[in-house]
Amino acid sequence: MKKIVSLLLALVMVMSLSVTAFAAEPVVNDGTKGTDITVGGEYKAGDSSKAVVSVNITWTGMSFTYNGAGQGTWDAGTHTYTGSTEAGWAASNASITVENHSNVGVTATCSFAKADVTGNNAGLTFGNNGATVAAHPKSVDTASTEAAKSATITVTPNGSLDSTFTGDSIGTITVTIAQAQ
Amino acid sequence: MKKILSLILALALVMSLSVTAFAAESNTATDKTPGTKVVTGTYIAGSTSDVISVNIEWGSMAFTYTGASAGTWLPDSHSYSGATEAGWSCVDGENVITITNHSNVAVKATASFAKADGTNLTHSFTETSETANDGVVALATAVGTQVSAAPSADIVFNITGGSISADSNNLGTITVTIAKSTT
Repeated sequence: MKKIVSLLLALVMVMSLSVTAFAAEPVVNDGTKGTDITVGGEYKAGDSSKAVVSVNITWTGMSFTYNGAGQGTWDAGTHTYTGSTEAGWAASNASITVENHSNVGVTATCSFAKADVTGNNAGLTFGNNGATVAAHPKSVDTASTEAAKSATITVTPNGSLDSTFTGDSIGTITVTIAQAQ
Repeated sequence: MKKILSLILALALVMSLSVTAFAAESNTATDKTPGTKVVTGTYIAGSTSDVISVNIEWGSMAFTYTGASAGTWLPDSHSYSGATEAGWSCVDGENVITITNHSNVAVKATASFAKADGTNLTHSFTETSETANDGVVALATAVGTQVSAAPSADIVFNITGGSISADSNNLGTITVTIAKSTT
């Protein structure tokens, strides 16, 4: 019983404790010496500008031609073909250019989703994929006269199409833009 | 023998006591001439001393330096909008020094600021009751006033320039000195 009463008393005492606010106390000055007041300071960094991502993406033509293998010309005298050609993709120079108008650096990453159509075994290879493009120079230094930074990702077909391919699209390229870390 | 000595000593003591003679003044008065006496008086002014007692109160005096912000980037115009400059701030009222005179004389309160070593701060004092803004206020005597209505004045302190680093928290010290007003 005594313990319970003691505990209750202790609880009441703890609850009655007030929190002292450290307000400046008035000071009486009798003119014999100065009263000192300490001035405190805190440094707070300015709000950093919110990242604004804005990128221009330009594409060259994305049409690729796959040439099937050619046996060549039948030579009736030798009963052989001459000038055979192997199957393959015609030469191309496709690319995607990413121009950064953001106030942050960005990365550009391409991916290819193959169309699910008969005879389509094509794929794409991306050169310089995941390129990092620096922020617009004027966002770093407003006095800058430099143009927006850009990066080029090359697109090269691989795989194959076979004779059963009658479709038009071999797939879709997606360019994903993300703030560079 | 002892008794004799005691008696001699007692006698010597009695003889050494002085007797103040109150010489009696007298007038001769008749039925024609009354007795007169001039009564004299002396005025001694009561002693009053100056008592200086001034209450000084102040706010937290906590200032915040906020760095500059570029604002919002506009990709179409390649520019920022809503930029803010770096600057100092203090919660309203927390940078006020209130001086209340309970003295029996007029006083002058003078505030001065000593910036902390290594800082490049500039400051200002603004008096709410005066225009000099020099950190000096004059307060009338409290004589004749209620305690609750004692002469009082505010001095507002501000940091007006300079900056501090992230690890600084002491800007300096304000010293308020009180002196009897000479005017």
